[in-house]
Amino acid sequence: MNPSLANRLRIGFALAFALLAGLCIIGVGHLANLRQDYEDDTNRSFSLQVAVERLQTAFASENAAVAAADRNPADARSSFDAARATGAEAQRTATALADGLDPAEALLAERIRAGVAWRQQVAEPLLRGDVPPPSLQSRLTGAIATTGNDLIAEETRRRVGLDSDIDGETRNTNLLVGLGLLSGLLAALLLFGGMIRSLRKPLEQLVDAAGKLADGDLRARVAVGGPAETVKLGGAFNEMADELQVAYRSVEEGRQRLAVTLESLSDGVVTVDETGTVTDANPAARQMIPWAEPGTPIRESLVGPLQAGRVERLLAGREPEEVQISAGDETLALTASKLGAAEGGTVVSIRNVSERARVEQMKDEFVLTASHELRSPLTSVQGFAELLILEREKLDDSQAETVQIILDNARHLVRLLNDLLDLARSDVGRLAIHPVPTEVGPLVEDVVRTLGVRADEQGQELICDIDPALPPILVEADRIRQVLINLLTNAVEYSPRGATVRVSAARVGNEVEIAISDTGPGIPAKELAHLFERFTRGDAGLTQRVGGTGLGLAISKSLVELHGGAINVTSTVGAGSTFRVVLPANTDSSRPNSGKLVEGKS
Amino acid sequence: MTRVLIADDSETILLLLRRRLELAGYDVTSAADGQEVMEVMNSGNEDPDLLLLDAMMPRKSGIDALADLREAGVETPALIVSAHQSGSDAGAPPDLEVSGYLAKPIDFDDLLGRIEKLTGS
Repeated sequence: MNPSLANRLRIGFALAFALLAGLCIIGVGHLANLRQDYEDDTNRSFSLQVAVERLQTAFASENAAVAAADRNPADARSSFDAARATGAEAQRTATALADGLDPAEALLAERIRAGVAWRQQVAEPLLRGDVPPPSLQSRLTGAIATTGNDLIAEETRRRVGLDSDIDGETRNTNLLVGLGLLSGLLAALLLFGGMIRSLRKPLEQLVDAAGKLADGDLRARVAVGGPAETVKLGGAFNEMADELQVAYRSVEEGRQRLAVTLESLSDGVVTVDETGTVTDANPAARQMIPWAEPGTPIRESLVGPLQAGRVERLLAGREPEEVQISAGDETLALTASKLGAAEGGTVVSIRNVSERARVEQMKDEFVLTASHELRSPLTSVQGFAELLILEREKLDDSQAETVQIILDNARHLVRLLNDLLDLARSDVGRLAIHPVPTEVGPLVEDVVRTLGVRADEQGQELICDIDPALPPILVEADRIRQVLINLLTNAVEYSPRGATVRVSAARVGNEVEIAISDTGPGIPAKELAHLFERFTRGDAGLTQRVGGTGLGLAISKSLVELHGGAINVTSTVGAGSTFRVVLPANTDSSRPNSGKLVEGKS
Repeated sequence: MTRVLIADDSETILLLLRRRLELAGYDVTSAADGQEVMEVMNSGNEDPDLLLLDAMMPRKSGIDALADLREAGVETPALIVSAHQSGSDAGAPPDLEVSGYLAKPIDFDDLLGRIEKLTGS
């Protein structure tokens, strides 16, 4: 594996640091040495110069002494001694410096010593009174002067040379340090450049692959080199892409399966968004309802406003059961389920129930015919039994009781027959309704009045709570009265003595809801589901007392639905039940006008 | 005595109607179908105060017979008995002059009340 970026950085920094530190130490050490050398040289040079100057002074005194030797030998002698002392001191100085002198200095020191020695050699005889001839004296004086001057000039030259040497050394050292810093900087630049170069390619590869992945090319992979980090990153990227591909494949397979399932389904499936616009429809749905193209509102083209109302309730989730609509010659059953809360749409499944509807129609036709045929014999049974009762005095008690039983059962049979007939006619669409705008208040109050007597008998209180601002409802008053009487009769009959029965009416959107609440025994949940089916009744004992046929609620449901309304029930065992009838309000101008014949089904 | 002409294709129903009406004090003549009703009315022997006709009968229905009688200017009050509860359901033309419809099974209290009202007896 390649060294990691962090390690590269560490190594790079360490190298650069070592390089720079080394250069600094070398430079500073060199400078310190230079300075020490310079100081030593300067000190020596200074000492030499002092020695030379002393020597010169000594020469001057000697000259004076030599010049005056013939006239005043005593004075000359003392001057000469002083000069000698000075010369000796210069010589000592030169000798003391002898160690560590460079060749030039050593030569100089040697000359100083030689000069002193030479003068002693020359001057001694003078002082002893051997005055040299003037030519020699002047030569001596000249030699002494020349030697001193030479010495000083030489030393001065030497010092100038020393200065220029030290300047050159300083320049070199500065150059060296500058070069060092520059090369350090260059090394750092190279290091970072290299690192960036080593990162750039893998990063570009990763960016490129990520772009491809984002564009949907799930096969995009990378072969990343470079530092360990990018290699690891590349590995992680590939792993992620693999997982993405696997996940996508399984989602795609699921989607395909679902699509094929939907395509091959004989039931129609339509999805609609929250505005009721079709978003998708499978082939079966498009075949059953050609208008169910994506983008069209599902309410559009539904046959008749009464059906549209039910479909709207279905989409709003207020229609727990299937809704049957007619589309041409076909009968379609619609059921709806809410999609997830996030999407807010609805999936509507559509089943062609034409065959079922035809069978039901045949059955209803049969019931219709059969009940007609039953009417004549039933008339005879009931009629003759009544005749016997009218001639009761001719019968003994047992016979009278028998006849009464026959009569009671004949009457029950008649009620059953009437209800069956109503139901069959309503279901089969024979029952034509003529909806007109009807005020809710008077209709409900009339029903409450009708049941008032019976409620009084039972010591029950009937409370009527009607919103005075209700819009009229679009119904055939007699049919809805029949429904309300049926519901209120149930409420009164199933409630105990002294109970309260409440009838209320309120507006809900474009509809009016009439609710009838009792405080009866309530209906168990398992019975609620089948409550509106035929021959379904609650508690057997109670039912016998109430004397219903078991068709009342089925008829009520059929009649309400014929009006484009809905009926439902909520109940709590032990607390009572509430039946709600929802009917279209006459607020929408698109609703049928009064008096117009509306067939429930075609 | 108030005379009532009854017509039904069922002998049992005819017997029931006769027994019940006679018990209530009416003079009853019966016919088995619309054809017989026409014959009785055309014979001139009977002049009933009320006609009680079954809507559906073989040969000639009560509704057809009544329509013919009305055509001929007979204004005798008439009640039609049918398995249906209203005239349009029974298949009667809307302009047919009928005093009322009765559904089977017959509610005799209702029937007798109506006869009383229509004949004044």
